[in-house]
Amino acid sequence: MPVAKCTTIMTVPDHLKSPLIDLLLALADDKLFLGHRNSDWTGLGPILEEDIAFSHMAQDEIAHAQAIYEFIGGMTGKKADEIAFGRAVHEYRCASIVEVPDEFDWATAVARKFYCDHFDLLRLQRLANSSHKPLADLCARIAAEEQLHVDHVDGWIVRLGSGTMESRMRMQQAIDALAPHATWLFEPFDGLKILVDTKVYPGSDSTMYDAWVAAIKNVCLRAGLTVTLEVGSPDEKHGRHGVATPHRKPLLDEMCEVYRLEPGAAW
Amino acid sequence: MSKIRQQPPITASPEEPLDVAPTGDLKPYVIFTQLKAAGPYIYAGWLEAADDAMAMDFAKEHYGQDQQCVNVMAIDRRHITASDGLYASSATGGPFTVLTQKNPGDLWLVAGSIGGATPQAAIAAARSTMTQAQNAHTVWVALESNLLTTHGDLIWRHTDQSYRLARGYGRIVRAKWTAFRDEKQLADYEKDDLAEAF
Repeated sequence: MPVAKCTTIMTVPDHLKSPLIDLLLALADDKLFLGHRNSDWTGLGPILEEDIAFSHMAQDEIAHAQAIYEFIGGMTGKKADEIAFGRAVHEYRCASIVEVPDEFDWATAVARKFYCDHFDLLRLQRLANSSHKPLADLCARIAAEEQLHVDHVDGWIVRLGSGTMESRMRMQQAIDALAPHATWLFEPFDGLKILVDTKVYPGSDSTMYDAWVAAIKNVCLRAGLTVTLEVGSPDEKHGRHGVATPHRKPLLDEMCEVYRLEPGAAW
Repeated sequence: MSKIRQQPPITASPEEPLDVAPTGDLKPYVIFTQLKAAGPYIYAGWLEAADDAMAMDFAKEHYGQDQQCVNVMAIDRRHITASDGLYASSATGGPFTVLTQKNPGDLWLVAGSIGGATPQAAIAAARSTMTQAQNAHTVWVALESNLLTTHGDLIWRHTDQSYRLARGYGRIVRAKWTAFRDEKQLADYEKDDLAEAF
């Protein structure tokens, strides 16, 4: 059954709305940007079947983002398109890893998807146990699809890591280059504590981080790759606080070009 | 009559047999989908993959998304023996899964399972004992142990996938066009009404 569209104002207590919107914007913005980046590979994948599969999964990410934006819209009264394309650059809450380009290097695209999909799966699994039932139901369905993405990308990490000397070298370079960005997926934001305390976002970030690192290292071990993940300073502000990389604005200009021609146009 | 129709149909068989050997390190797999639980497996298409895991991944992504289905099956072409000699497997022992094509160009269907010491023996046994195989144009057999299936894993997405399909695209786009047209018609009517009244 397709996910039911959110058409009513969600009954979220006022003191939880702002932090929940921040959390969901982070989730949806990550997915929208990742889907957009991965859709660049349409027609350019290394083999035909993977080209189609990668494009499918990019579509999935954008579909997931749309479902989350519609959920946010249920709380704010705004439409999904307006939330997705109508904000200022600093109002997005995506992590830097989904903004940086992959320079059409397949290993980089795979490494980025690897880090992001494992993070997304854990985040969605936490939300699937949310005390807010409509959110839990939505995220449970999306998490089931995210598992497919994780299985798919794990296969590529193992295949390229344990393939030829060249594939291992290129995969290792990509894993190392994106590792500093990857840990900022866990950048804490204001309001996170109240969401954890009220079980809207149950669990703990440290447990989730440990699980993510374990999953990443397990796959890399099978692939014969190494990974070094270091947590940055909690005082640094990055994507979750609206601090953009130089890549965000040109990416938004491209993504929002049609929407900006006539905001609110009916398609 | 067009020039194409004026040309006589090709009747001579090609001088050399069709080359079906795979190239590179990708192997061809034939894919079947099961649309409903306990329903038949029906031919869906082919794909190329480096190994069984990749084949199942691609099978779920490509053929599991065409329409709602509950299971996907992939068979490495090297494991298929065809009654017309196109494919030959060296597998021995059984049981074998039997696949039949009733008429040339028809979809392949899984007919069932049969024993046999060799693929050729299995084909012969299927032809003589299985109704679906008796009058089939072509029969394939493959060792059951060589079949790859999804074992009930998720295939069809939970999120609305109709926009990817022709029928979904047609329904969604038609609805949007109808709404736009009705809105425009209303706007034109109001404009004309104003012009007449004032």
